[in-house]
Amino acid sequence: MSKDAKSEVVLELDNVRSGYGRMEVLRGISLHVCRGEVVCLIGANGAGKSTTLNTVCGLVRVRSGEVRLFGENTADFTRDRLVRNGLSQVPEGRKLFSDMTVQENLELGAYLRKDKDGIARDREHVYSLFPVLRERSHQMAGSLSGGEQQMCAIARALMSRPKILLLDEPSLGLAPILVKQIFQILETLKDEGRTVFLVEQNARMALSMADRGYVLQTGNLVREGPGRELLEDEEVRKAYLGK
Amino acid sequence: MEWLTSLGNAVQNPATYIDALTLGSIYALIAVGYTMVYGIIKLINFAHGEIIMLGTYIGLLAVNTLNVPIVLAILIAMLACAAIGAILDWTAYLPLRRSLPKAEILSIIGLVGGAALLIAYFTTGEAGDSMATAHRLVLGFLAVVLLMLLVSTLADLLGWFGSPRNNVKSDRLAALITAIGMSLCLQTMAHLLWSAKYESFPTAAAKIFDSKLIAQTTEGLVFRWNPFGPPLIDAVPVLLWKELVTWVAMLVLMIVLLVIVQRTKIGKAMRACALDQQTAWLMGINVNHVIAFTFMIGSAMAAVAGILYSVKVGGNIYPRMGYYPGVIAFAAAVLGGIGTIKGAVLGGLIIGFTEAFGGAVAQQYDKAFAFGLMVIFILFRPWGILGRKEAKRA
Ligand SMILES: Nc1ncnc2c1ncn2[C@@H]1O[C@H](COP(=O)(O)OP(=O)(O)OP(=O)(O)O)[C@@H](O)[C@H]1O
Ligand SMILES: [Mg+2]
Repeated sequence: MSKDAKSEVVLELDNVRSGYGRMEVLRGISLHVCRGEVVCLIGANGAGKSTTLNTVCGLVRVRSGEVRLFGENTADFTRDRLVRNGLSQVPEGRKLFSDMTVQENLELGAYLRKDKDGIARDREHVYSLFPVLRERSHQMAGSLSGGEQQMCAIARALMSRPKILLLDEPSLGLAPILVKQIFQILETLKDEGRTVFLVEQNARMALSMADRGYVLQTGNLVREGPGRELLEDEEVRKAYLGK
Repeated sequence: MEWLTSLGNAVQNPATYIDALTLGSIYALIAVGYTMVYGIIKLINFAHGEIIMLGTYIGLLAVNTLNVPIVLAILIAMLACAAIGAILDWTAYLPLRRSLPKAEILSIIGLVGGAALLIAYFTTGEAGDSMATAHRLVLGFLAVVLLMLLVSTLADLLGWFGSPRNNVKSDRLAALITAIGMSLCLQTMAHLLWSAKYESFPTAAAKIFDSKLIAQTTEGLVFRWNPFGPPLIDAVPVLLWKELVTWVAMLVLMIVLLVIVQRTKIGKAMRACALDQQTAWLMGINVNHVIAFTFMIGSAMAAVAGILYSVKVGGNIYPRMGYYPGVIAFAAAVLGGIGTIKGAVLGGLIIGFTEAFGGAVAQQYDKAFAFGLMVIFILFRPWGILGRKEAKRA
């Protein structure tokens, strides 16, 4: 499925530069995600992984280059238009609406949708993916455990029925058993044929499930290739896998 | 112990409670506007008092020129004020949220200040007494503009404008000062449009409101369910229609508001924006629309409050009329816990009671009691009765 010339490019970054104030974080990166692909971006702390996602979703301005969603340059998009056009993000640190219930969080995930039946069906679907959320549906999101919060954040992002799902370090701060659980969910999403762009520090697990991977180092992409290949790569192993 | 006697009298007199509840309802309606805007963009909207004033003038205009009954005038004023609230947000506050570079902020400030100066200069030429007031306003405006320039420069020196999308701190300060500027600006406008004379609703239009619902006659208590009936000449009013209308208006509007905020989609979006705007954007919520909607609701409530206030007090419609109820309702919002709607209602009622009973003890200090209460709360419980203690205050 990976580098099929015919498959549609969903998200594309073309020589993108961006940053904060006088500091440039991304120094011209180009990458793409095709329909049905799971692509991961790995890199050390402060490499600019979150900045990449935040640039895509319009939180950080593109300084030069282009971000394209289904071939359209997103420079003039308002941020809600990105969601309308099929982009959905699970932000770093979950960012749930803590004083609202799990169910309300899910409803907000479906904010732009009008199809009541479809929303109800998708809610059933995410509840079947995360049964614990059904039990907690009337509990405040802020009172969930870390793992449950991460599940809620993923569920919320799925509620918009995204054409591409962006995840920023879904395993951050979770116990190993929960990390495994989260990756199982990601596998399920992959099997469902979803398009996923995953940012991870847990390089081993991310690369072993991804179709393709990119390695980001201080704002530059230094490697790219199929997940397995990167997993075998000498330098990648040394730098990110601790061997 | 004279004051104790007056307090004792006030406690035994049902009129004090009626007065307290009426004032409290009006303050609650105003406080809700402060608290909702604060909850969502952390801005103390100093121009809210001027919305009260504009709403009252619009109601008056509707009564005088369209000859509509007051109840309809209130609806018209609500709609008009909703529009004014949204326009206020779009013109004054939205540009600041867009986090423009310093130069643009400065030029906007200069433009607004300059335009206001010019208008004030050319239109107050011959008026005798009002010129002094106008000059004071102009001077005040100049001072504000100067202050804004100073603050912007200071902010720049401190590097607050360094990262364009993350200058929350300077945004809040700039917005606060802009709010003060807008307050003065709207006052000046009203002053130019309607001049500084006191007006009131014509007695014919206010008839329903001023007629007695319950009165004391020599035969005892009389209920009058028909406000259009012949006047009760010698009866002492116990409860007036306008008082009942004020309570009912407050109650109904608050219930509507709570239903909107708790149950509807836009209400959930409002709560989401109040909690975390960046994540709200990620949900596809257009945060700017939600903020404009918040201004609209708060302003519509202010219009109702303004008209009921001027009907209650009588003859107090003038360009600066929004100041006192505005500031006191702000105290109420702080008292109840700024950012919480129920807190605003509770705070409004408490302040209403404080003012009514305080006024019964020492008439000229009635408002001082309200402020005293606010100061006590700011000292000992700055997050208010129902508010939550913030981990860190910016
Ligand atoms: N809001 C911000 N303002 C200024 N600088 C920022 C901001 N966010 C991130 N940075 C800086 O940009 C650089 C890249 O940060 P980014 O968050 O993209 O890294 P990351 O790869 O996601 O790291 P991590 O693995 O720790 O999440 C860092 O040097 C960081 O200090
Ligand atoms: Mg990050």
